[in-house]
This record gives sequence, C-alpha cells and structure tokens, in this order.
Amino acid sequence: MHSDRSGRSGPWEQRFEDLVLGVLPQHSRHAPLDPALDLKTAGLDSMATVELLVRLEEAYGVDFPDATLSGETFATPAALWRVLTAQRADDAVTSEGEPTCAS
Amino acid sequence: MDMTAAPSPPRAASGTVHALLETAAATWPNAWAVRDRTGAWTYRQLAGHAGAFAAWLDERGVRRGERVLVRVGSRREFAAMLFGTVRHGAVFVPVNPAMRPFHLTTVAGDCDPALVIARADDPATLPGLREVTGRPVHELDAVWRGMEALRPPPDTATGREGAPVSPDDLALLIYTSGSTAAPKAVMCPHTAICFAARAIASRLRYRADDVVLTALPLTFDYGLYQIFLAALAGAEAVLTEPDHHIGLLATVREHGVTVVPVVPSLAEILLRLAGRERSAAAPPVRLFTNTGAALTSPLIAGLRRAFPGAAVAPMFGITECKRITVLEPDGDLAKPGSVGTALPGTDVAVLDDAGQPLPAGRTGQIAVRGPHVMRGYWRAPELTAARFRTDPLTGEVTLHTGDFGHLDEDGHLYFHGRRDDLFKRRGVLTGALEIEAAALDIDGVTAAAVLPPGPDADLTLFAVTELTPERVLGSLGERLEGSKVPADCRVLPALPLTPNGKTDKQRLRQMLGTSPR
Repeated sequence: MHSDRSGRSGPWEQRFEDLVLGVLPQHSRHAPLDPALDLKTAGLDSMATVELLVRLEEAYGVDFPDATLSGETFATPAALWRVLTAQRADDAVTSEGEPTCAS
Repeated sequence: MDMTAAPSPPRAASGTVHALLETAAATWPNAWAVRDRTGAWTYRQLAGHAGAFAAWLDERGVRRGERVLVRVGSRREFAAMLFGTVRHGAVFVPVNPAMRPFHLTTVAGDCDPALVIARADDPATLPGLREVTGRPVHELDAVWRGMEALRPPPDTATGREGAPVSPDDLALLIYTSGSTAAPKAVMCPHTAICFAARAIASRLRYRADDVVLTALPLTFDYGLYQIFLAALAGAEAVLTEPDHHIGLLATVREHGVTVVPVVPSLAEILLRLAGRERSAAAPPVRLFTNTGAALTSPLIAGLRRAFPGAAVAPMFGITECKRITVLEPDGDLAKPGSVGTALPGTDVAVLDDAGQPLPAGRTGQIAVRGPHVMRGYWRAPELTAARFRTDPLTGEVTLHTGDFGHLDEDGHLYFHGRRDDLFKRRGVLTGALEIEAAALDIDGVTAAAVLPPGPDADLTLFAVTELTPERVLGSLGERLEGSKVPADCRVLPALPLTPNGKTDKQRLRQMLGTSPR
C-alpha cells in the first residue's frame, strides 16, 4: 500500500504507516494515516492489535516491555509511534535501512 | 409474577447471592477479592463497598424488586454494585458498554430500571444514555463519592430495613443477545445462582490461592460467575477490559494468574502473545476453562504447549440454567470432543422430536432439569412456556435448550450445534459444527464458520486462511461427503465476533447479502 504524502501525515517512516494500515479493516485503510486517528474506532480490535505488535517488533527488531502493552499505547498512530521510537532508542538496535522522512 | 415458574428448589444448599460475599468476608477478610487496572479490594473492603452501595440505593428510594441497570465495564465497583443491589433486594441488570443505543432502548424499555449507572466515558455519553433509557443516569465516580457519606460501619452484614431478602427473590436479569429476535432477559433467582455456582465450584475446585483472570465481559454470565466462584473459594478475580487485551499475558505474569476462563478469541490472543515471549519462565497458569464458544483442538493443543502444566476443562451451558455440563480438567484427553457430565444434582437428557429420551449415541435436543434451571424469561410468558416446560403431573420443569447433541454410555455430553445450525441438504442431516471442524483440520485454516443453506445463498463457508477458496473446498471434499461440502468459500482476515466472543453469524449473513463474490 502506498500513501499519498501530501496530507497531514505523521513524522514516521513509510513502513510504520504501511504496518498500521495493513492491520486495519479495508474501510479504514485511508492514506495518509492521521496521527490522531482513533484506532479502536477505525476497527483495530484486540486480535489486530496483537498482530500489529508482533509485526512492529519483527520489523523494527525491538521488544515492547510489558509496561507499554496497554490500550493507551495503541490508541492512536502518534501514541504508538512515540512508544516505538522510545523502544528503538532504548534497544539501540541498528536500523534496517534509511528512515524515510515524511513531508 | 405471571411467569411459568419453576417449583422452588430445596432451600438446603441455597442462601442468597450476597451471603456468598458475606461468608467470604468472614472467612478471608484480608484476602484480595477483586482487582482492576487501578487497584484491588480485599473481601472485607468489597463487602464494605457493597453495603455502602445498598445504603445508597436505599437513599435513592430504590425498592425491593426494582431493577438497577449497570453499564460500567470490568471495574471492581461492578462487583460491589452487584452484591449491594441484591443485598438491597433489588434486581441487578448488567449491560455491556458496547451495546448500541438501538439495542439499549429495547433493553431499558423491557427491564424498566429505577436508575442507570454508567461511566463518564460511556461511548453513548451520559446525556445520550438519559435520552435512550428515559431514566435517571448516575455517573459511577459520582456515585462512589456520594456513597462515602452513607458508608455503614465495617462488618455490618444486615440490611438496613424492610423484609429480609428471600432466596426465592430475583437477583439478576441477564440479557442474552438473541441472534435474530429482540433481546430477552433470563430471570435468575438467588437460589438457582447459588446452586449453580456451588455445583460448578465442586467440579472446577478453585482454591484460596488462585488468581482468576476475568477478561470476559462481566455482562456475560461466564465472566460474571467468576466473581461468585472466586468468592466461594476465597480466590482473587482480576478484571481486564477488551481495550487492554494486548497486556493480557503481562497481567498473567504481574498478578500470578492461575486460572483463565477463555473463549476461542481470547485463547488466540494469549497464544499469539505467548509466541513473542522472550522469558523462559512458564506462566503460572494451572487451569483453562472454556464455554460459550468451543475451543478447537488446535487451540487446546496450543494452550498446552504454551502453558505447560495447565489443564483444560471444556464445559457447556446456556444462560437459562447457567451451566449444563463440566468436563473434569484434562478430561478431554480421554473423551475428546466431550463437554462433560451433568452438574452434580442435575439431569441432562437428549430428547427426540416428541420429547422422549433417546438412548446413548443418538442425536437430539439437549434438555435439562435441576435446581440450576432459572425462572424463565422476563416479561415473556409464551417464550418461557415454550422453553421451560412444566410437567402437568409432577410440576417439574424441563428446560428445552434448543441445542443439539448426544450422550455417550458414561453420560458424557457431546454438543453438535444450535437448532439453527442443523440443516438437511440433499437429504442428509448435517451440523455446521461438523463442517467447521473439518475445515479447521486443513493445514493453514485458522478459523472457520459455516452458514446453513438459506433463501439467499447455498451452504457457505467463511474461512480465515492464506489458502485459496478453491483449495479449501477441495481439501474439504477429501474430508466430507459431497452433500456437506459448501457451495462457496469466502476468505476473511478474521471472523466477526460478538462482545462475548462468539462468532457473529448475523454479521456473516449480512456479508452474504451485501458482498457477492
């Protein structure tokens, strides 16, 4: 899925956006992803949340600590990106490829 | 009451629902009773809050027999309001915050509550709830602040005034989501609830050191009864909400959870979370129970792998009598597919179309007798008479469940499906469950649901799989006779679920209507 970069997209990598959009139901897969989108309302159910967690951990080579595994972390793309970024800093894992900056 | 009423069960093993809590508070005053995200109460504290809530209801003028509608999700105040309401002699009506306003209007009109209690963050908003229900709506946290002033001294176990609550009084109305018809409430008297809770406890044997993960909605009797089972054992119930299922396994470890009641969707979440675990230490779970929607055999095997040392106890029941059968923990190893034997002190039979008992091995309607049979449907005498049938000679009530199955020689029950899920196609009687089980046997199919042939579509399979529909139907053809192989297979990313974790077949039917392949 490729997003149109012209909108109010968040300050994240394309693959983050793709991973989030990939677990949303078809009717909510609108790029660009609004950083303040209410993911639960957009259709991110419990199972999809777990799926997203697993995909993010695999893609970024990080482990979300137990304390971050809550509804708040997965409330919006912005909240999720914040937690993910903090884990990447903590884990000090070498990034797989150059981050692509959003508009 | 104008219902077809079951004869009063014997009082011997009875008592009242609030007596369960009072006994626990006297026996294990300082043991944790109920925990939620923000904290926990001991049994003594829970009894104190329950008493304060009863006093609050009294001050609001709520009278014996009136209904109190509670829509607060899985918060520990729920347990206090449950025991406080029934101690006051009123009837507790729990509804799910996920219930849509359209549905809630019907429920509020039907149960006619004296008042409603909801959270400030209710999805329908408090003014919205006032409009939808037409009743006084109280915000949970405000109620709790108001209660503090009314709090009776600790260890006060008696009601403030009026006649004592009778074990024959109604304690609960539990609304069941009829898949097609309007919602209907099962009337649950104190005696039947206490009998059922004790009978289940005698099979499952929760212990005082158990910590019970209650991730199922408390508006679902399977979730709700965890509070009673915990109180009977002096165990702790840990309440979690669907928004935080991502943290389920973390909760299991943080609070040392030992017992986990699951429906398939919860089991899948736990397994997926266990798959990403880096910790070598096995989670402390010793028992999984299951009812509501049956675990598939791959899910059971997965739970045993991911939680070594945990037993699995399949069960079967309907809200109309709470629970019908319980299989001893790990009994599925000897009796795969069985949901167990009848609760002690109750009878289960399989009946033919004329209502006559069928011998072992023959399939028919599952029927139930015993003190756990509830009183019928609220304000629905015709429906009550049809399902809760009174013997004209003995006065004994037989609950006709509308579920089909068979018994084996040892009295073990095997569930085949709802009446709606059984159908004849090309002259062959088939159940949706049989086809779903065959689909799940195919490598690469992780979930399956079958819709019987109807006016709009032939027999249809919905599958969660990476295989092509043709491949799935081809593999089914190797497992089932031709009449049982669906005409169509639709691949979905996930099956739609009801809030209680059952496959939402109504949604599937809508998909058939709206999105032809």
